[in-house]
Amino acid sequence: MDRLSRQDRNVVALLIAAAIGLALLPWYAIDDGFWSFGWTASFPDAKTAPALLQASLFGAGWLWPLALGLVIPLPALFGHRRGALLIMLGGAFGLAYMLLEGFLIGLHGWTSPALEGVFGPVQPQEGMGAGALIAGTSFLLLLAAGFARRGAMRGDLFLVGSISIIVASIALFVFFPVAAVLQRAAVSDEGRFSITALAARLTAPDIWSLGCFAGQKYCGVLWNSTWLAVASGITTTLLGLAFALLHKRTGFRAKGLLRLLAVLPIITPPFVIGLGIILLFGRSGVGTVLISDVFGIPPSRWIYGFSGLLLVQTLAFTPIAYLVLIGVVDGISPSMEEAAQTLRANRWRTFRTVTWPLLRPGLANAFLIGFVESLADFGNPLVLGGNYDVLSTDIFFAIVGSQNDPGRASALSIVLLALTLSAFVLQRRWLGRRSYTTISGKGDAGMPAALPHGLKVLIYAVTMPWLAFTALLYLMILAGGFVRSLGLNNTPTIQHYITAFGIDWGPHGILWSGRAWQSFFTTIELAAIAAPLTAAVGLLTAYLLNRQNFFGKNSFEFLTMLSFAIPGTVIGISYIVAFNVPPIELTGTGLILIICFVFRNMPVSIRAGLATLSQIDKSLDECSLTLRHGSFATVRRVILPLLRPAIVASLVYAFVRAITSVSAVIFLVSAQYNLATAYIVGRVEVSDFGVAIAYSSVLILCMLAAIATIQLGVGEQRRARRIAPTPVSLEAAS
Amino acid sequence: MSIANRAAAVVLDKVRKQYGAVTAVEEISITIEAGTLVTLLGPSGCGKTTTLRMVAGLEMPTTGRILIGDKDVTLLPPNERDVSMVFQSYALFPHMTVLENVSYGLADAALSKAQRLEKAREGLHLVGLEGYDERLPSELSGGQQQRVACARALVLEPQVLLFDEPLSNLDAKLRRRMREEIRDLQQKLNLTSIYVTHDQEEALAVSDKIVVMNQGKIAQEGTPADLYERPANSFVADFIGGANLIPCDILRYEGSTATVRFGGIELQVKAPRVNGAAGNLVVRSAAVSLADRSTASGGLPATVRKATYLGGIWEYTLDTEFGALFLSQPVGSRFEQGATVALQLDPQHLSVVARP
Repeated sequence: MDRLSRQDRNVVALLIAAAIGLALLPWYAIDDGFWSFGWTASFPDAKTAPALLQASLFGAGWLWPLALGLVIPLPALFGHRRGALLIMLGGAFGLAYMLLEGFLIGLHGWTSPALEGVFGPVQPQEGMGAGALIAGTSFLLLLAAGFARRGAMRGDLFLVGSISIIVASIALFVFFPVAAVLQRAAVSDEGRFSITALAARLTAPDIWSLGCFAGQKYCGVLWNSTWLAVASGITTTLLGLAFALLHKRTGFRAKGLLRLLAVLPIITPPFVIGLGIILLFGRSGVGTVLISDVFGIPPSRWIYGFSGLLLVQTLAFTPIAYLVLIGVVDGISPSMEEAAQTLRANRWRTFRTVTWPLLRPGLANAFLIGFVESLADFGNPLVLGGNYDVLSTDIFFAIVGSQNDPGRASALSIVLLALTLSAFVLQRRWLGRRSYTTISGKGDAGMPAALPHGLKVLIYAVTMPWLAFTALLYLMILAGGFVRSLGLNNTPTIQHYITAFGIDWGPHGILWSGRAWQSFFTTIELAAIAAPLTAAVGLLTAYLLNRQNFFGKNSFEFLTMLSFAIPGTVIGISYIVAFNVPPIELTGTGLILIICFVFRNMPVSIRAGLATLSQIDKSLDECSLTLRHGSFATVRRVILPLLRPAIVASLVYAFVRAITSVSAVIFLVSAQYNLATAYIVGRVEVSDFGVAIAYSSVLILCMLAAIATIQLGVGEQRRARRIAPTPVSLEAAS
Repeated sequence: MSIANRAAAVVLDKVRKQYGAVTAVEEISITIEAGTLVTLLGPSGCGKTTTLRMVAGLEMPTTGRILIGDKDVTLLPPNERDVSMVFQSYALFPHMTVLENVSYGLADAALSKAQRLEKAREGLHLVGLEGYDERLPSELSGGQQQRVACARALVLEPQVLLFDEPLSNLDAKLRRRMREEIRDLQQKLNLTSIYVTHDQEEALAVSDKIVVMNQGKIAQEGTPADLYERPANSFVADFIGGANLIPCDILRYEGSTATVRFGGIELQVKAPRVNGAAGNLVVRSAAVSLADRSTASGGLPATVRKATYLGGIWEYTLDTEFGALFLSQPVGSRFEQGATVALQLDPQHLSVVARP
């Protein structure tokens, strides 16, 4: 098989695909969705015609040059000396021209009045559709094919193509929206680009005011967020450390309980803890009533504000710190502590001089994670914030409330993004320099040193009540759904479940009469679509990062991880700003939710993939390559089977996160595509706690079931160990 | 069905590999005749593995061409080259059985499933592992894993078979046996092979030709005997067989005989001509005989600084007027630490290289 002919075949296939995109499929987005196929009836009219027909019949003459993208590469197929260059040129031109015309001509003709002055009026155009998607992807891959033909990535189109697609989609769905927000913050109320407007918004006193030190009631929202994040970071880190030490360095028996504690927050929608706290300590909460009965302390609203938020965030994020710190505690080689002890150090001295310093980088990491989680937290401040404004909720209210001020929302997003990104950069730097734990692959024998007695007592004294409190809280949540109104009227009822999940028998069979069903089915459907996509994109990225070397790889890695540091609220607002108008118009669709899920949760898949891949010897891939398998076949037959644990982890995480996320999706849901969390938040806002709690409990149980199913379906198909048919000595015959 | 021989010659033509500012392999040209085993030998970081990986297609040369059987494969990816490789770590796929591993590379060929399995079993027979078909790699010993890796590479009937330090994970005894088996197989099947190792003894034992590499360059190439007996430079003399290098002045040449002087002694040594007058006399144990100073007449005086008994041989460190010498001598004659001995040099076994 000749290589050039194989490469030529790829180019021909891509050219055909691009031609289909340009000449056969509707170029613009179809209002009721491409897959409805309603458009086939009137095809091809001005709404549904492909690009080339739009250009020739319907007055969109600016689409003609796209055909050049198909023509330029043609000589390459007939052995042109500069074939690779022509292919690259064709792809690059097609792609660049698509972007150019898409951004310059919008719903009202030229997007810039200056252009109208130069070129005269032009007819408006809609957002891009199926044809544009196919053509754009084909142009991108043509560009990649050109690079491959020049010997990039050993001439492997699969690799070059994958890198191109991932880079392009991250650019489109992470960086373009964020850039759109940055730009939006600088658009004045009159719709002009104005640096003054940007400056005014960014320096607004309600962000920066330090009034709370000068006798006023509240500080600027930036300070509110920062205080809360610092406090949460500290409390979660300390508690997380206590639990990690309890797990790894004490004789604590009920380790299953700790594992459950670690899983719970992952499957709990973020605001549910806040809800539980309201049930417990709200003005009519069980705890409040009890305290006021017994001690005569009048009920107050103390949980609505800083103290309540801190309590809730500590509950919600301590398990994350615990998971991080367990790894750190595990990474401390027992032999170092043993060495300290043989050097005559007692337990305290060992802890103080060896264990603690080794823990410090991990603690800093856990703190930063808690800090960022608290900043990005949206659900709890929404439920419990009261008058204590934080950035994430302020952004939300700036855009959905009566304010409807995208400029202010964008400016607040910039401030929030700046905070989380600084923490992220700090974390990368810190971990880059100060990580002591290295995995050598060598077994490290030895017993970890026992903790000093006082410390052990302290750990038990802190963790045991906390565990009890957490258990009580979840109990509250589960019980809350089965009483009329917990605290006020404790009559048992299943009315909330009937309201939410009622099923009737109608004339046409089952009638899903419960009010929650619609959002429930949408949520499950979108999460089920998003999960495999997330895992695929994330693991492919991990594979490229771990296994391949290419130009700009370090920046590529940094950018993929960076998307992790963008708070959900910022993603949400940026998607609205970026995808509400052509050329890419996605708001109100289910697609925008799926895309949001994929790019929000991808970094975790990447990390899971990287962790597993680094355990798989690279020579396995290379060996497969020399055994007549291309890189795609290698991925399929060698890498994927060995990557199974990472696949399971990614699927579970992506699925669960898609169901529990609130911050980003609350901006993106629509009447047609409402999600469970958005629905629940809506119930909470009108104080319909019963239904909210019932729905939350169902979600938690569903996710537990889903995790179990995925584990069984993908995880446990371990190859049955095969036994040699005849007993053969394991040592080679000598 | 049997393993057919499709051996082809390999030519590396001015191949160079650069990583950023670092040059891993400087412009080298090597020709490997069909059916021979050529070893790339050198210390770690000398570029030998990079060179092998360029032949495999796992690295792209920065400049230069690679030909396999007259076909230019420089830009071809590994899966489209007719080579196969045995890896240092064996690289057996842990999720496949032995038989699946061996038949893995046959997937693309125009063979039926039954033919593929038959061929894979043929390969396993060749390396003496019949009956292990259904084992997982984790259930095999190191030596057996090594054989599976060889079988997997062999059944592809490659034009070139590549070995990347195939024995370095085995213990010394097994290493000796496996290298003989590899050499036997290679000669029996008349395969073109390139073999990378840092172990000079292994290289001497298996090779038709050895290419000694140092710092990305070829230090010398030739048959094992060439390299051992007529090293071209100090590096090769030291790396192969660990010769003593004694600084000397080259006084003159008469044909291929050089007259050298060191420590007041003049000797005539057969050696290829080197540039300049500064040379190193290459002294191996074989060129030296020791005698008791009190009984022997003549010879150079030397003192035993250290004597170590190693079973079949004695190792001596001697102090002489021209520097320290490190020698091994058969047991039989024995000299205590501190003894003075008479040292005879046999010019037949001496050689001279340029002093760097």
